[in-house]
Amino acid sequence: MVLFGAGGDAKPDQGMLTQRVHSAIAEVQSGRTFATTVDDAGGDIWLVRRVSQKTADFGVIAIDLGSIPAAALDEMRQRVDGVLADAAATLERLGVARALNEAKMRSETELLREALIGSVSHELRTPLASILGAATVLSKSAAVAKDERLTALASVVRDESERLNNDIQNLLDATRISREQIRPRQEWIEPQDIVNSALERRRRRLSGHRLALDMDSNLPFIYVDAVLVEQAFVQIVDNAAKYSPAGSPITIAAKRNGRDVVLSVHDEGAGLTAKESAQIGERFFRGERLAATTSGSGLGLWIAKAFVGANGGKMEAVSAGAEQGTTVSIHLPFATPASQPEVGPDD
Amino acid sequence: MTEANPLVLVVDDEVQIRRFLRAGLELDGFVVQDAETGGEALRWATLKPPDLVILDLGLPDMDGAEVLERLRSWSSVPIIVLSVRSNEAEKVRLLESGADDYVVKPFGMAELLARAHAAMRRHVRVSSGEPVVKVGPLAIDLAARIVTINGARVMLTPKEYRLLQLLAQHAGNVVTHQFLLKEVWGSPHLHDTHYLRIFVRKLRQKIETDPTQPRILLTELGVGYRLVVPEPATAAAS
Repeated sequence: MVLFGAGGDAKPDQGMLTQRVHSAIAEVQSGRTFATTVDDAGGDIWLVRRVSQKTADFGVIAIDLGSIPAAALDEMRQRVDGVLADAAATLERLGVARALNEAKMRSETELLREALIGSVSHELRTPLASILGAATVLSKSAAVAKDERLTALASVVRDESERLNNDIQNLLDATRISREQIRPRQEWIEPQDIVNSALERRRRRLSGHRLALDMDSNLPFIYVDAVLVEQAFVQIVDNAAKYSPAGSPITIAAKRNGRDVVLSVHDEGAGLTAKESAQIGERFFRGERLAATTSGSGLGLWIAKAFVGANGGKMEAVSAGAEQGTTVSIHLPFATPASQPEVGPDD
Repeated sequence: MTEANPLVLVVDDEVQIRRFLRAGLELDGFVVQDAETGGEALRWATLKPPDLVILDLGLPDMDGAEVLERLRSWSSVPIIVLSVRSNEAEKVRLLESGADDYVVKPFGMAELLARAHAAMRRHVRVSSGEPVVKVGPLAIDLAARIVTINGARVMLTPKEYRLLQLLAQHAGNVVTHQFLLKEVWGSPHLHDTHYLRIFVRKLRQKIETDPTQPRILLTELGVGYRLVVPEPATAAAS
């Protein structure tokens, strides 16, 4: 007995079949007929049938009856069709066909959705560049600069377009992650460079908080994609700024811990409940306590986690509880001290 | 070069971008010439040689990178490229094809002006032979090969000096890893970025107040390094 898949993909070894059986199977697979009986020209009779009369999803079955006498053939055919009808009914009840179809459709819509996100995001960026650029020109113009209220408005336009730009970047990053298009370009890097670069990028956003830095000098170099790790760190910094009150301190640290370099951000804000701790970093997760009063997509820390993971590191969020502040840290292995890079004598 | 009202050629196919660039540049004292296409840009560049070019990479008629290369084949005019984020490899390629610097869209006018003025100052320095580059408290006398911080001499090894010299010559603009590696260590070490990391760390210990939070020698992740020109020098009072 040979069972053929519906899509014509994984085919069993067909070398054992004669040309006539082949043609019969092809005919049933094509849907021109649901069932046929064929003599393989070697003395064997074959029954070839679609497993279900209703759908091609369950494939085609070919059964070698051997040299069965013509008198017994009819009865055998009825018995086979009876068994197949039962089998098909069971498969339908289990929803196998629907599941197969849905899986196929899901992967198609997923692709479509992601292509859409990709092109829409790029289309949104161009006007955003004009808006942000124009706002910065306005804020420097004599008429606006001398009026505090107007300066503040120009500043709002700038901040909000930056926020929008970050949201678009998050969408693009999320798309890259789910398409598994993250390809780290690793190089040796000074860990503080990553932190400093992220802080520079978020200077405006952090200006409302009291920033404290605690970075060890002479940390081991790490071998990572610095741009990806920086983007992860920016997400963590953004989160700290968002979920802690203006004026409260944010402490940024870069430390060595065993064989890891640990980059961390500590805030004295909303903290995490035990339940939230377990879910943080999941795609689209947003804490219910704060979802109503803060905006966000729930993508930030998920992206951060993926970028850190792609570099062989891990991300961790620790909090003593609600309103107790949060420490989010990135742990990146630097391998052994012996593997640290060296140069020859400095002439 | 006319320092009073320098001519800037703005190459961008988006009318709204050209509009705010024109306003911002004119407020800063530039005379602006627009071009919507690469072909138009190249024509203007020969007709009225600009003191500065601002070049968007996405042009309808030809690749911005091609415009850059063609301009560079006969002109040393400072060129600032407008690029989109998240492609460090592309930034490096453009810098190596002769762009003086880039800003990433979306960007603020102040950032663009800082990059542009730094590139223009470098051209003035090169043509006038002015030997001293000042970056905040740091002074680098390229003729005497003497480095001082607030007047006090800093002792550097030959390689440390060479590295600082290259960055000083481009003060305010980014310098790629590959360029620095080639100039300091030679072509066989083009990919040994870690040489740079080690020497930059040593250099920062000598010239930065807090080497863990550098204010002078900054890292451009995935691209290179930049000696920062302090803000007051670039703030054009308007």
